[in-house]
This record gives sequence, C-alpha cells and structure tokens, in this order.
Amino acid sequence: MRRYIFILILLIIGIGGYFYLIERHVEKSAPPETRGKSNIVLYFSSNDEEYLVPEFRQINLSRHIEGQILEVMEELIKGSTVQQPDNGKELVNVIPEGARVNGARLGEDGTLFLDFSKELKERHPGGSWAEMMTIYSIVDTIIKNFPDIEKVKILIEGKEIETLAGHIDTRLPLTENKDIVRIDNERKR
Amino acid sequence: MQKLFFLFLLILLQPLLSYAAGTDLKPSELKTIIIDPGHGGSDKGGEGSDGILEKDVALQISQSLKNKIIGRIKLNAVMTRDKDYDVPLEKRVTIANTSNGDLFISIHTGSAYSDEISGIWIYYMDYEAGGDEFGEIDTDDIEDEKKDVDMILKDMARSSYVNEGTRLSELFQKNLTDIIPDQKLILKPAPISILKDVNMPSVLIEVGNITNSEDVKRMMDKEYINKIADAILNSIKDYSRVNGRESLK
Repeated sequence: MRRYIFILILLIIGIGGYFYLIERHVEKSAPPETRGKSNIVLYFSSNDEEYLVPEFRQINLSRHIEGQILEVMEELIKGSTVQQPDNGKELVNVIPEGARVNGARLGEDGTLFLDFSKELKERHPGGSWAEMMTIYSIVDTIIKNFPDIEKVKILIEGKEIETLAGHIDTRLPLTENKDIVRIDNERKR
Repeated sequence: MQKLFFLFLLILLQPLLSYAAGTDLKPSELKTIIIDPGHGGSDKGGEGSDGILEKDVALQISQSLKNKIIGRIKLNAVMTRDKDYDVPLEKRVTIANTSNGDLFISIHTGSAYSDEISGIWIYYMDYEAGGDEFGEIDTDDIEDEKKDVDMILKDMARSSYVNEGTRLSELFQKNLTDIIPDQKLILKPAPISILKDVNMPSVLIEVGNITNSEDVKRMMDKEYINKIADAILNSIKDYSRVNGRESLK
C-alpha cells in the first residue's frame, strides 16, 4: 500500500513539475499582453521593396509557444493593413500567395524549425532581393516576437531547402537581420 | 590555457599564415574570370509577363562578356554553363574552384512583387548575415585544435574574398553609372549562397527587373546587353589596376 502511495506522490510531483515548466516557458517567450490581446510586430516590405518595415498589431494568442508562432505567422501571411502616411498604400506582403505554415517545432538550442507549404517556393517571383525580403520577413518577425528564439530554419513540406529561389542559403538556421529593417524616420525615399 | 595561447599565437601570425595559405590580402594577378549565368534548364529563374526568361538573359550577357574578356583583355574566361541546361549551385562552385578562378561574376535578372520596381542590383557577400556556419570552439583536444586552425585560415581567406568582392562590386557600380546613367543602381550586401562558397572574390549582378516592362524592353535590346557587358569588362580592368599592378589593355 505504502508503495502505491509513494508512486502516486511521485506522479503528482512529476506532472505538476512538467506543467510548471511549460507555463514558465510560455510566459518567458510570449509577446507582451495588453487587455487580453498581445502586441505583436510584423515585418513587411517598404513600397520601394528595398527594406523591411515593422507594422504593429494586437491579436489574441494561445497559451503555448508553438501555437503562438502559427498565429503570428498567420497575421504575417494576411499582409499589411496600415496605410502609409506618405503614399496611402499598405506595405508590401512578401509571402507568396497561397503559402501557409504547416507546423512549428522549437528545438532546445533556441532554433525554431518552421515548415511551410510548397507555395512559398513555387510561387516566389525570384530575384535575390525579393528572396531576402521573404526570408527575413519571416525570420525577423519570429525573432522579434519570441525573444527566446535565436535562429529560424525554414523548411518546405518538411524538407530542408538549399535556397528559396536560387540565391540565399537556407541550409543553415538564420539569425535576425537588423540591417534590412528601416523604421519610418530612417527609410530611404 | 594551452588553447588560448595557441589562438593568440595564430592572431599574431595572421599575415604569415595568410601568405602561406595563398590568400594574400592583396589581389593576385588576374588570369581566369569565372562567369556564372544564373539558373538554366528546368530552373527558369524569374519570368517576365511576355515570356522573357531570366535564364536566357543571363546566358546572353554571359556569352557577350566571355567574348569581350577573351578578345579584348586576353584573359581566360570559364562559364559555369554555356547552354540552356540545369547546373546545381554545388556544381557551379566546383567548376569555379577547380578552374582556379580569380574572380567570380554571377549574372542574373531581378524580380519584385510590384511590377513598378525597376533597376540594376549589384550584390557583394554579406560576411555577417546568414547562418552560424563554423559553430562554437569549445573542446581542448588536438584534433579539434587542428580543425580550429583550418577554420581560422578559412575564415581569414573568406574575409579577404569579401573585401575584394566588395571592391569589385563598387567598380561595377561606377562603370555601370558611366555607361548607363539613366538606370537606377542599387548596391547591397547579401548572404548569397554561391558568393559565399566560391574561393575567390565574387559579385552577383541583376541587370534589370524581369517583372518591370521597361526593364524587360531594355534587356531585349542588344545594345543594352552590350553596354552591361562593357561595364563589367571595364570593372575587371579597373580591378586589375590597383596596387601598382600592370593594367590590362
């Protein structure tokens, strides 16, 4: 009987500990919350397609980090909704039409494996800079919203790709690229 | 401790090691130029609305450039493809490295999400961006130290290629401005796979946006193709003039 009680106590401690650790991880990684909604930042292209520009949005996020990542990526795929003061246009969405995220898996070393549908590659217009914009629109959006994630590895239909459109190396996980980002008062006209 | 001393010694001996590795920081005499026409075969690259393909424009300019290099400045010119067929990036790198190229010039057209975006884009290797290729140095045994030396030597060579590639890209910008002053020119660093993998200074040029109708008109004009090839040729000539070396005619 004592043995069963001991095993039960161990189980309770184990399960409790597991949920406690998960809860801490989510709290640490999640974007800051405001009135039930969370503030997120999304990177779209400037209208001259030379830089990424941040756009802020408030959305409801689920509790677990991998779900949150999918929700943030859904917003990125929806595209820009804010008109620019200088030309009245929205920023340019650099995720090809029809592309969606199949799944996200966070590795222990802070690398996120982000799996996209084949449209991300097949419907990409090509060109080195358009490829840069697409890749870092994804990578910078993830890293800015989830500080615990240091690198992002882009996969297509579960497989590693050499490049998205023939130029930029995606064999290795990518880190944030701050040089490609301009905020409003720094942007080139 | 032993490792720290070893790394410190390496830093002190950097110029000597660079020389021993055949990676002198000054550019060597030019003998062979590698021309890399982007895409090819089943990989069409970008596609214009009227059916013009990036792979065809890239090949046409590459062939014009090759003829000028051989005919006018009497250097070797090796193309990574000379017809319309598939060549994987890895194979292009092997061709460039085994041909002992001194400069690597990759020729492409650009694309944009908006059909209003026009211009010539010149890229040099971005040393900082991209993945963490070399990883961390965290072990102490001799085998790993040997690997560390290899990595440091590779890194120094790569740093030299990046500097020289950047200089070549600036010459591209200058010469293109001289020859085609009415076209918008953009010079950017980018972690382009092939620029990183070749063992020589490298530049990638996109000669116009295939998604822009005005750029497409230009790229279908033989005179424009000729001007682009002339500007690249002049950049190679200018590159060879530095550090008191004998200039190419």
